[in-house]
Amino acid sequence: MSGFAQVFMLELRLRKAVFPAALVAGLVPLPMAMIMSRSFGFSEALNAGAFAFALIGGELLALYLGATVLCQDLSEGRQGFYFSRPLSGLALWAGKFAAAWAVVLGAMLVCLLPGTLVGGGLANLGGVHNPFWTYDVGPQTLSPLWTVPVLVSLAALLFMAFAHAVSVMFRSRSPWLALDAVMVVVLPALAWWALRRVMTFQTPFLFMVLLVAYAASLLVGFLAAGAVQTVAGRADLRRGHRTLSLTLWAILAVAVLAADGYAYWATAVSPKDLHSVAAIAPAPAGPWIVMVGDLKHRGTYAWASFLANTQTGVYQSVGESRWGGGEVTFSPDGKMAVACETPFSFHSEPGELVSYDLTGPEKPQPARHAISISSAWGFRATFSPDSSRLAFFSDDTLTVYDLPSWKLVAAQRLGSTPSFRGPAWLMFLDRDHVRILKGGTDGPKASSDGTSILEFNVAQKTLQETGHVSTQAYLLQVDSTRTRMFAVFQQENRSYQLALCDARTGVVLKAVTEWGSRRPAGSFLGDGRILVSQRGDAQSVLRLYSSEGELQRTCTLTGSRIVVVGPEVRGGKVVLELWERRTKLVDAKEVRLFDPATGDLQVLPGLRPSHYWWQGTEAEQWSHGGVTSWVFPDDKGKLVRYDFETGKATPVKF
Amino acid sequence: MNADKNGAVAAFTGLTVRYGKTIAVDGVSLAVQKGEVHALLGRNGSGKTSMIRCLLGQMKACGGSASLFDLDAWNGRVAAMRRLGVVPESPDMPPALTAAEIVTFCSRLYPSWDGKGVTARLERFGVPTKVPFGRLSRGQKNQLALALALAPLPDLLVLDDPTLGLDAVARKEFFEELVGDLADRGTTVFITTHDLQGIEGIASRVGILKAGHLLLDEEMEALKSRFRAVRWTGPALVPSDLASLAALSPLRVRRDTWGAEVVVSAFEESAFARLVHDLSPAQADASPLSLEELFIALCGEEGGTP
Repeated sequence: MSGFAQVFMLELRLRKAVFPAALVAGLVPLPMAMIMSRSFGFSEALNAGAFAFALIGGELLALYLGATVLCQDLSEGRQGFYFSRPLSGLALWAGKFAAAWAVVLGAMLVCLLPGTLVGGGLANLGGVHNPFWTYDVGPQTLSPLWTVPVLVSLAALLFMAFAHAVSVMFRSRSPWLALDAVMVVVLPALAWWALRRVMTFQTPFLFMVLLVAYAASLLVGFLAAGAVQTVAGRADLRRGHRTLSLTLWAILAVAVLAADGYAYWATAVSPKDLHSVAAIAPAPAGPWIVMVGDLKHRGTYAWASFLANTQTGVYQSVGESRWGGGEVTFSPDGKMAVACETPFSFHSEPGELVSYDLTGPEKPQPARHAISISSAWGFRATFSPDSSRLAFFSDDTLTVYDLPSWKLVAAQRLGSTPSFRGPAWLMFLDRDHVRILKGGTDGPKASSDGTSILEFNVAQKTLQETGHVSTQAYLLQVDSTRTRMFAVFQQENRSYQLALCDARTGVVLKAVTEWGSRRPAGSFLGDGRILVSQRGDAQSVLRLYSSEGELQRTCTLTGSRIVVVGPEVRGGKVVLELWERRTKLVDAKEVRLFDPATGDLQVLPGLRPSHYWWQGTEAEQWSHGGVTSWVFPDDKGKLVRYDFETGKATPVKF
Repeated sequence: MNADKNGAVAAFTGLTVRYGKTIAVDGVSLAVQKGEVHALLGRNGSGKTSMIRCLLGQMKACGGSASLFDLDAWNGRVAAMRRLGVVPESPDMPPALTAAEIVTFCSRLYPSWDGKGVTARLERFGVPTKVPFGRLSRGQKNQLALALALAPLPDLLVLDDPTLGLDAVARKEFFEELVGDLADRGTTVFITTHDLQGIEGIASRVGILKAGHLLLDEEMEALKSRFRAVRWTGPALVPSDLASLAALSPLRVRRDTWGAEVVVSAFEESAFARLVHDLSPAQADASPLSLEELFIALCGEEGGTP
């Protein structure tokens, strides 16, 4: 038998008393479950108790064995017994550690046995997808079944290796403790830097990558350090401490620095790192856009937003607003953008309003104004038409600031509805009047209570409810004059109806038509007409209504495609973006130019859609009929600015 | 049995061991030849155990080297240990294991194992095999250690103060067993000990360490022949008398009312006769020193350099 096997068997023999002790410990959950069975089921309490007992006891045993399996012999001068035999240091370390690990795992199983036998928990071990111990954790996170014992086993191994290292350090009391003390402070700080950076970046994938990398590094580092200490330090505790510390800190330092480098690389992104552009929102005027896309080589859910100047290529990563460029709002004159940033915190601290001055040629820097926002999610702000005021919600309070002085002009609570946390839709009617479409918990579009229409007089600081849109209104669009709006209702038979309403009172002026079970989408044109699209099973339909709600034209598009109505360009044509649902075929996505006068649908070759939130109220910011150029991704995902008058696409370089 | 070019089965070359700023062993060179019983003597803290630990590959020397069977003791430890038996200064076996379990464990690590010999020795020593090692007496622990050291039929036996803490009977039994094995197999032995009386009868070569330095390393016979205690009665020694003693290399001079005693390290009969003739003492004699007396003369408070 090899030296490893001999040491392994010897260590098992030395620790054989652990198993009867574990069996006795495994009986403890029985009376506990009897006591707790009044609140929980007996079996459930017993199974959970047995599992908790085995887990906690096992990991504590791992710590104890880790601290003693090699180090006790070493500090008490008994290591020479092994080193005066033809036995390699590696065989000694591996044999001892493997045996101790086996003892820990065996003790856990033995401890688990009585409770699960009586409680029936063992029945759940036979291939059930979500065993009893995953109930509270969520079966998705811990399935498949083998991950639980694997994680528990690896944790036990890590605890052992950790306890061994700590034990060597403190038993040796050598000057190398100074290095240990320094590294115990420095490395976690460096590791925290990387973690904080990816957490601030709000990418779960990167966070998980770092966590797994750190866990693996710790396991490898502590195991390797213990092995090297035994092999190179042998029976000399102080030398062992030196080799252990150098090995451990070298491995962990390399790992942490690599993680820091990775975190820096992964989060210091530029538009070139975008895998694809998911959405672009141009400013109402000027060359600036905000674009959102998923990042290359950074896993799923790694997104970034950029404010970018399409003429100069200057860009700025937009704060912490990684999810959806809609959180960035441009002023109508295109000279300012505001966003809500959420600083990293373990507590649910509020976000902070930041603004970007877009007037200069240089990279815009975030300006902070010590204005906290209750939640960055769904944050919406709106500028007055002359860009001199900004209004936004925080909690249920409407706040209006004068610009550029950032002087608070008014603040008004909207009501006591405690559930109101979501975005209400805001729009300035003029510099002194703000209209609010206030819905339920998820904004106006999914409110079952209907939508209240309110007007706030900024100068007089008065809030008045001017109207109400009853039933569920899924889509509300307001025309450029702020006098009319259309709403899409879902009726009791689940079909949708489009209605033209008074924008101030919500009174239905005209029920336009029934739309079946597919929800339509649409937009006002500059002259008040309404262009509505709806996806069908075999074809999509485009309908043009007059400003009074009379059907003027119907066009069909082959295929079951989502048709998004975009801005109205100079000359009266309207941009349409077409998406094929549930397919990633590039050709299924295209941009067309719709001519309301003729019904012609001109394909703009080489351009791909990217403005998925056009259906929102942002549309009311566009200068209808005045758009001359727009930014699209091309076939290769590169951004181009398309001039509608010349038909020329100019690449945007970053 | 393999040996290096000079026939040494174990050797130290300029070995240096430091503990922090303290130098425990300072450039010691020493060789253990095949078949000899080499005793390394020294006071506590003189560096003996450090040398043994380096030889066994348990400690890496700060300078110089130790070798076993022509293998570097650090790098070739595992191979060398197959041919080596060790009795440590303090028996270091797992306290929870019985002698039988320890024997079983060790027997599977060596290419050859004299199982019957171990059993016979343990019976002879009266070491219980079913009692945990931690509950054995000090003597029984040492006897078990010796039995284990001899079991693999080693080419070299390394004993680090094996009789430390043993009573007179246990010491006697230990050395008798050792002598028995020497007689049977002619095993090379490298031993450090404070039991000078016990080792005197079996050591063929002696090395003496003092404060990390090797004072001497030579054959026991040669050592005993050149070291003598010269005593005379008569008139007190005067400085000119001491000059006459120089030919005998005096190490230590002790004056008394009856005369003087001088330990010399280069005794020669002719030189002694001339000295007697020149000084005309009332009575003079030169007696051999025991190993203990010799050790005290060299390593005691007034000890000198041979």
